[in-house]
Amino acid sequence: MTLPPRSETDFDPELLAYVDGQLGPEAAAAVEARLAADPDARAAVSAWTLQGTQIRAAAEALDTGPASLKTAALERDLARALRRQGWRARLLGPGLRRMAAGVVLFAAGWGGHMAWEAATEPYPGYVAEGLGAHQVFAADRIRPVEFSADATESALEWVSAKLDRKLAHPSLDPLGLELIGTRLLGTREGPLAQFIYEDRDGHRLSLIVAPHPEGVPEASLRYARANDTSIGYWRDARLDYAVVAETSDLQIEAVAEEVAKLMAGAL
Amino acid sequence: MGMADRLHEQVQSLRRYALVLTRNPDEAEDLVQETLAKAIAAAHTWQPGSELRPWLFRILHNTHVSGLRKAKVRAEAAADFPEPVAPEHQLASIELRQVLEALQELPEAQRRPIVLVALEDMSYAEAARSLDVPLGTFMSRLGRGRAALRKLMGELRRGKLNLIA
Repeated sequence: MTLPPRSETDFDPELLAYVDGQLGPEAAAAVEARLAADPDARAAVSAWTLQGTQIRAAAEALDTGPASLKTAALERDLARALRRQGWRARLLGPGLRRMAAGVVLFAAGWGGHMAWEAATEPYPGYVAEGLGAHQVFAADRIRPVEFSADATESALEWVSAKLDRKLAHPSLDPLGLELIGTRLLGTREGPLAQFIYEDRDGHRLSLIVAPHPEGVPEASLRYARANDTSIGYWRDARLDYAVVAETSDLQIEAVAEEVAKLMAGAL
Repeated sequence: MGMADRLHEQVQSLRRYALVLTRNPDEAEDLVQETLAKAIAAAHTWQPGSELRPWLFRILHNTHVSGLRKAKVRAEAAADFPEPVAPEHQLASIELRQVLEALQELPEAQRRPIVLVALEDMSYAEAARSLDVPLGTFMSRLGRGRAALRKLMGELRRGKLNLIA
């Protein structure tokens, strides 16, 4: 019979796992019983435990000073990229068919736990007009739109001419949102196009598109809320957009991403 | 917890880990930044719903490996340059300096499991995923590394080794 080498405890997986708290209570108790009778194993355990403590202390001592601004900026960018990845996976992943019903607009109840609150931040004039249009027309069951979904294709050219911007056909079918139709609005802020969509439960969403005024900077997606209604809005070099629905910011973001992609394709 | 908060926690972990691996705050910050930049470019490889931490640590490890390769080339090209002052000399406690010095004596493959488990409180399975090695390999490296580290620390204490000038 050969004795195990002295270093055996160094490779003993149970002992390692015990030190790192990876064992269940029964296995840990068994190791403790062994330790009581084995001074070498006890010495190894206490040496390893001390190593861990010292490494943690060293890390803490080295960790002086706040993270750099550049690190913080990269961190923000990564958070954004991962959020987007979350959406992409949900929209394009293997579960696409089922998730196509993904954007489900909650007509009520969503904000049920929230106290009534006015709009959370001041938003641009066209957004206010778009919110108004959503409240007036999207809820209209009889005549929500000027042009039906079928007529939208041919009306698009006329709408584009009124806005003085070429628009792509804003189909949100991939998100499970059916286009009901469109209408053109004359507002204090100038002409706005409103596209109205419906999810499979009949809840409605408005996409507002307005020509981007010259001299106004572009702006990335921001959120506002008016009562139960969520608004996401952003501006690119050609157009200003708002997405309005009684739903979550996350759903709004999915729609916004799709719209941005579609309209970029119109160029 | 939102994505921003979850990620912030992970970045703190990456920083502490990078500090112990590199023993140099500037290098550690560079390593973290390079890791984040690569993660942004590789965001499409992250499976939403899966843990962020092993994914991020894998990227950090790959980044660190290529960084070490570059450093080796630089060191060989400039063998006559004096060693820069190692920043752990700023550590007040001799003990902490010793543990970092001793860690430095270990092969990279053994150093990483030890530091990962010490700092990140990971399960072995997660740590093995973070290092992209099988669980058995991870445990034997951890075991061998700890034994070697213990021996080194013992020799330091007995004054047989003098790593710190």
